[in-house]
Amino acid sequence: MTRSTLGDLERLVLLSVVRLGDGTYGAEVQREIRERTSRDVTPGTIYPTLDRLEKKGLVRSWMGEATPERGGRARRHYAVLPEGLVLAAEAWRDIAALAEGIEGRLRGATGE
Amino acid sequence: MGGRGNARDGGHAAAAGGERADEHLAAPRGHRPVRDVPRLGWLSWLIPGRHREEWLGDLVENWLREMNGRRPGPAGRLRLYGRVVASAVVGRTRMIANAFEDLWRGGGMGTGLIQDVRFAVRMLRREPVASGAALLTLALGVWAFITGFTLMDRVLLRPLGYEAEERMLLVGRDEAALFGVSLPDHLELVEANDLVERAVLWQGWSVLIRSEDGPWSRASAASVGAGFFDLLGAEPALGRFFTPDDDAPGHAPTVVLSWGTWQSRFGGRADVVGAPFLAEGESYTVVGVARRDFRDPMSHLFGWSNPEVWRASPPHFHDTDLYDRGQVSFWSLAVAREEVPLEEVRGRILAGAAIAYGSPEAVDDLDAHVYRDLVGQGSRGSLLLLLGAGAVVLLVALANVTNLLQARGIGRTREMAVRGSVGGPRGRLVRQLLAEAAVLGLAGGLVGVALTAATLDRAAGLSAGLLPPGMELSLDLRILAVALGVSVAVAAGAAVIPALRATRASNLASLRAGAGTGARRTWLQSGLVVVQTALAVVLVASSGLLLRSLWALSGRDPGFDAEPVTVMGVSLLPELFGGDDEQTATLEAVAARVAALPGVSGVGGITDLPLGGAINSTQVRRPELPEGADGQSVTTLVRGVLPGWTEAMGIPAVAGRTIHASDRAGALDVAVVNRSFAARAFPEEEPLGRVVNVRGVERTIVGIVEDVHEFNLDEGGNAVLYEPYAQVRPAWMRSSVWLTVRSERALDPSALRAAGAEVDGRLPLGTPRPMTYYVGRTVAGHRFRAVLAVAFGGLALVLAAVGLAGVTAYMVGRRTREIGVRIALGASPGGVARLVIKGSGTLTALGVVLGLAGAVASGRALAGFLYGVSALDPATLATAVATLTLAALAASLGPVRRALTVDPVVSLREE
Repeated sequence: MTRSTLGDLERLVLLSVVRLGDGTYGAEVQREIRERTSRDVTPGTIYPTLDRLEKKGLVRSWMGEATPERGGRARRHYAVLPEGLVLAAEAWRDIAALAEGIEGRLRGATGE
Repeated sequence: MGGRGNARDGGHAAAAGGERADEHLAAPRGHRPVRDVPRLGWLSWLIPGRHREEWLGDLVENWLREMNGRRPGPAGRLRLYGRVVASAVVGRTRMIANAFEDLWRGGGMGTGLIQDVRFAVRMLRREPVASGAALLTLALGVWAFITGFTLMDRVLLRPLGYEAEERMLLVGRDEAALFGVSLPDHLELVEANDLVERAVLWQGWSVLIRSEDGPWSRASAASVGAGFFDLLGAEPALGRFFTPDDDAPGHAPTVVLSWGTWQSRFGGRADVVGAPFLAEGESYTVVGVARRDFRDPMSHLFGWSNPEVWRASPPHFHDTDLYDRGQVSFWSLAVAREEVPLEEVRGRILAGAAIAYGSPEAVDDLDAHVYRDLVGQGSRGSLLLLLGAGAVVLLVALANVTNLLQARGIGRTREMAVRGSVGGPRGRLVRQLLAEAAVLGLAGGLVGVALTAATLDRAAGLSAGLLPPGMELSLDLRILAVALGVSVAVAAGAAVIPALRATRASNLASLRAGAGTGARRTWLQSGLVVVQTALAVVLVASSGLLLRSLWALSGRDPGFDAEPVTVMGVSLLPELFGGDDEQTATLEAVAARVAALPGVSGVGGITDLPLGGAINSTQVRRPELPEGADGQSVTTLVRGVLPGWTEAMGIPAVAGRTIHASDRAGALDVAVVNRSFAARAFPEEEPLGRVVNVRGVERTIVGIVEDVHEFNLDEGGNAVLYEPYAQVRPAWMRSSVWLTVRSERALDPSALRAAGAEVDGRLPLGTPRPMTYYVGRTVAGHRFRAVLAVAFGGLALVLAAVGLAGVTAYMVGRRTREIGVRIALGASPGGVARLVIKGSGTLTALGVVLGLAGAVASGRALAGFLYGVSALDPATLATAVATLTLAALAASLGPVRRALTVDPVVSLREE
């Protein structure tokens, strides 16, 4: 199988799953992306993207139990697969390699 | 991997979703009361089913976090609802986009649309015979259907391009307006009618024309009222069309040229406007040129060639001598007022006619027809038949392609079952089957279109008479789209059942069983064979009926001897041959020379040849009867004949005498009538010696002859009156004559022409043709339908036989063991053969029964095309059944042979 390439959103979601660790779930990923990036996402963006990652064999999922803080609804939990970790690492490496030496300028551009 | 690593219920087991907020009466444990959470069940259908649970859960979780323990007010609730809707819209859009992207590129599996198509092509090439057969059937179906569609589109569907097409009325006689009306009919009933916006006269004009110093030649032309082109909303290519001045009595003679005439006779010169144009002794001024695509409405309607020129209101349009209702050679074209229903206009015209003629009965089938409805009326049935036959072949193709794809699906069921059981995508096979169907459909469609393009001219030739001459058939993008659409739709339809079956979950059972889904496969295949057989019976029976009609008609006596007669057109231009006597003298000189040719046993001549296509009719009256009385006025075909006409054609005389050489101008004006005229004008009396009024001339009836077929072989009974050529007036009615030459051996056409040229080198002569040519022309429609039906019937027969052979062979394969046992137990070869034939025989019998029902129905639909044979003709139906039975037997031969050679030892060991 040829190595999959990642879309922009797929990269964000995959990195979030890696960040949050095995067993994370949609709402958590949504909050993570919203807090750490400039993107505002909804379940409507998260789940189709997670579906694609799962189809590509980068993450796996399973249903959890219903909890009251969710109005009695269950969570679907996600965990990264080895292939996903490799791709996440590549994504990070690419960005880091390109950003090397210009971190200052990039920070300045966003006003940080 | 960083992470909080808080242990959750990691594991594969999918816990059941459990309770839902909208069922919170059975609320789960927890610190926060679930009743604070708004019900979302009524919105949940918006969310894609696969993620509904966690998706809604996520929305609620984040919303509750934001509420931070506060009780939610209406605004808060509304915010949650809004988020559900917004996320659903975003999510569904994204999923659709993803699906399309996957389809095209391959969703992470390297299996996109392109791969599917490549794979489909590979699979189709692996079985070239079966694929080729399916493709060819599809292509033939598309070919038949699209040829029919192209013809129909051109003749029936496409607008004709006239301005007020849907309000255009044509006033004429006969249910197809085949006969015209008189000048007073037009003026009083149509032009003076205040429900009619505009109206013009139209009259056919067969004329000898020449441009400058060119040769004389005969051309079809028309005389029209000056408002003709304006009524149709036509624009000239050059110069102008007629103006009201061209309608005034005594106006300068003017013509408009057709595009073709402008090109061929004037070399497309721009200064043609104002040039002189010579036609039958008169010099006309060219005022304009019609556009290349302009079609004369009357020629279009009757399938005549487009006029070469139109002249504006010739003097006889104002001739008070013609101002009588007997001269019915005009057609009246009218455009109704916009706000008036056409029925009302028609009613007004008919009411006016009833008053003018004294009673509704005397009107004699004068009617105002909606022009658009008349167009293609004669060919509609044949075109629908062609389309129907094409559709049936498409159905057979559908069955064939279904079988092919089904076989392919079965072959891969196991592969799919394995994939499904290890979690592979099941939709893959459906996509592959659909891709194969699409490839087959596109290829079949393209081949079908190529076939259509290659044969369109021939189809137009074969369908002569269905199509107005000079009307070109061409394929355009629309037709290409219809062709490919139909083809792909049929192929996709064929893929539906195989696709559904191949992906059925129970296929796993078949994996375990190790056997194919045999029973179900046979069921489908058998069903298809039954349908194919039934369709074949329908087509074979239909082609039998049409063939028998063709034979019956071809063998039909036209009323004259066609075999020994040769026909040659002669034009006697009044300006070249002066007065009436000179025309007669010239013609008689030619006839005398022809009579002297070796082998010639009789020579005659007639102004309008039976079955020659001329339709000028006249109202012939009995002067002694009051207007409106029975038989007072008879719609009659009036023909001028040379002495010897009746004898040369072998038309039997009934009473009295025929036309003699002594019936000259100045002698007693006489007429010979046919049996139908005698029966109509003198139902109770002896016609001989009675006087009738023909175009103002009182003629004494001196003889009665048998009817001949005037227009076609299906129908007869037209009233005909023959007058001596020497007594025909006015001169323009004498300018074209068909010389009919009877000879016991084949005539040399060049000798005939030479005889004419010897008399006068200036004499325009037509091509000599056997009379059988004109007879054969009239059965062209029947031949077209019969050829078509036989071709498609044969095709369907072969396809049904192939299908039956396939299914029988399959059954033999499955029962090899049983057959082996039977043989081992001493079954005779006859018994084994019976066993096999019983299987295929049952299917054939079912198909034949279904097919007979279909044949009865299709026979009813064909009734209008049948001649001399009943739609339920038992002999034809029996022959169709016998043909199918024989084909079925032949198809079983191979499988029977295989069954007989089964070695019981081998077959038992194999199992």
